[in-house]
Amino acid sequence: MIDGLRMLGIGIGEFLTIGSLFSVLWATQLGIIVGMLPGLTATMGIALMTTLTFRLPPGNAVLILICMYIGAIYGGSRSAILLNIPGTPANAATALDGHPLARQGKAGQAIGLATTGSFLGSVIGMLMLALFTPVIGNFALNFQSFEFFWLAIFGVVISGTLTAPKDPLKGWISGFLGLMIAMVGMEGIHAHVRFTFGVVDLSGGIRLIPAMVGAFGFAEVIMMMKHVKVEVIKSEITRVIPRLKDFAKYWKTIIRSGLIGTFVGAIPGVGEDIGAWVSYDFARRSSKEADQFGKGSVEGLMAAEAGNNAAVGGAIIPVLALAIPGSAPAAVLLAAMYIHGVRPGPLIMIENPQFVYSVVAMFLLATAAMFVLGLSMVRILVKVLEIPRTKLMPVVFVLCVIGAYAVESRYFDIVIMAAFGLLGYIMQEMEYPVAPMVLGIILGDILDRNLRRALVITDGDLMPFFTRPISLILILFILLSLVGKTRWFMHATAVAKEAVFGRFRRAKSTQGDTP
Amino acid sequence: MSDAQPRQTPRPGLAMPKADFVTGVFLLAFSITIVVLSVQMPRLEHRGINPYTVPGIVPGLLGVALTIMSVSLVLRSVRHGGYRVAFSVDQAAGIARKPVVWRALVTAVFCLFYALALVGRIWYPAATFLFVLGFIVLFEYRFDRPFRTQWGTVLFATVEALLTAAVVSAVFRYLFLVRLP
Repeated sequence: MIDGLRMLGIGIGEFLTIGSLFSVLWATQLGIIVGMLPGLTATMGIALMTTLTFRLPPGNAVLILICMYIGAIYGGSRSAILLNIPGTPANAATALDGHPLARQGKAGQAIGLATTGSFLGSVIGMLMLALFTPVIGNFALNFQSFEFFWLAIFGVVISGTLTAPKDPLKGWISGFLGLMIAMVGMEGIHAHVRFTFGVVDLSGGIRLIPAMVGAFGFAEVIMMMKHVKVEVIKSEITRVIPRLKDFAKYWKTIIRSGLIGTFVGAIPGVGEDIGAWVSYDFARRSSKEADQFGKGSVEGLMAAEAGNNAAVGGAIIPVLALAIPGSAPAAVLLAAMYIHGVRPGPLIMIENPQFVYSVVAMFLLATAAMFVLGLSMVRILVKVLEIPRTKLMPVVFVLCVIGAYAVESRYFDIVIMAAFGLLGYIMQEMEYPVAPMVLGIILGDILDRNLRRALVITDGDLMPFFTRPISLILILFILLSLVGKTRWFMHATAVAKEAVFGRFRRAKSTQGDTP
Repeated sequence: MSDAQPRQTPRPGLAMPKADFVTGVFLLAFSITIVVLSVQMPRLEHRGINPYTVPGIVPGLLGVALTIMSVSLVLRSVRHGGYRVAFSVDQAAGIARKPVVWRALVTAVFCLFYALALVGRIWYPAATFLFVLGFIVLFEYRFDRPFRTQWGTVLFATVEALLTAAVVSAVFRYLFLVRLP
């Protein structure tokens, strides 16, 4: 504990230089702008920023990326409130109450509430990040190949289930497609080259950054250009500074949403959008003003924003502790850490514990910057929303091309970016979520190496895969993810629930009837 | 079942059974190919490796998993009438005439032209200038109106294209020391 606080102090001190603070301010502001603009998502912003920062020292580069991440997830609330279009998918729940507030002429109030909700959510996410990363990292030291194999399967399955709630099958297909894509290139045990069909450039495998720039950048450019222009609400922005009474009234909702957002964010490949929706749903169910939700509820707006920004902290926990991203932007962050020579994973608490606390310090600075910048320059920044997409998207695509190329100066990476852009667009049109595929690309190598290692350890015996305690828990979660939404399972759960709780209810009512 | 009875509404997620059928068949062919290629992959016996570490084992298992999921997708779409896929030139022309489709198609083709045909073949700043200028003009210029009413659009596009080409090239070339494509 004391060691943790000391390392956090060192981490904060490390970034209290004029240069670093300037980086915090511009990167967070840029993140807010990227998040605000529909079509520029947090993932795209971080992927492009990775290509712009790969020459910087690791600490500065990761600091800029975290500022961009937190800024973008918050910034999306602006367009959700003013345009009814979430700037990033994470702000979809924000639009439900933020936009009605703007229509009622309370755009300034909505922006202030969203900013403070995001700030508080982010603080909760940061505290969870500081508390749980070492705990999970130390626990993961017990993991062997069996557990890592199941963890990889669990990652793609849960990500598929939660990112495609209407049709989990498509989410799972997307995840397994990602695992399959990771099989391309030289494998890690015998250096045998797989599925390259003679293309030498594929020998090193599919690089994550060009693939993500394509899937989240180029695909979004096509998506955005499909639609015609949208109008900004011409609501006069007056008071932005939020009132204390709103927070005193809804403090329970904010804390609950922050905790839920962090938990959901920490689930592999699930992300901030689901964090916001789950927080929003919980807030609606437990609210005394549930009828106001969707009509401009202050509580709903704060729950959604606290949820999505807390999920950022949650998503970074498995990045650091397990080298498994909690969301698509966190996947880029993980790739960026690899580029800069940082090796996250269970060993980080032994090899480089200071880095974990440095990330917490970066998070703290980014959160503070987001709060200050979010409450200032509101009227000026609204003008950004008026930039026509026909003028913005070609510039974005130019950055996608040069960004994909720049990291390794390979023309082939532009081809990868273009191919994944088209694939991402087709997947979106066919309602396949892209996030599980990205997670699959990252987890593919873990799955491949650990399955084969485990088989060597057991000499082909499959029993240890099913008998070790952690493996069993992971298998149980996988099965629950697979069958949890089937009608027969829900029916069986309802029957079981009625059998257990119904008996108590009946007993209680009988007691009540007895004089 | 009488005609008056309301038709069963499709379950959520099955809004596009025909598209699911087509993608399911494609995925099935893809996953079977993966399984076949994995089985055919060298076992590296001459290197005396452990048979449980052969390179094709994991892709093969993933191929099997994808095959099962693809079959589920196909069967589910068949149950919802997805197999009644019909193609006609008129239908394709009708789809292509939709502004949404047209805009997406033009964007994709023009972006691919820049990324795959211009970049790397002509001087990078020139390629970028042409792309940005062309993109804005393509989507903003109304060819049914006289030029004199739209010269501002072309001027703005030219300035934006010049600035983008110059700034992006300079930043990557001189700040990040990247040899431009």
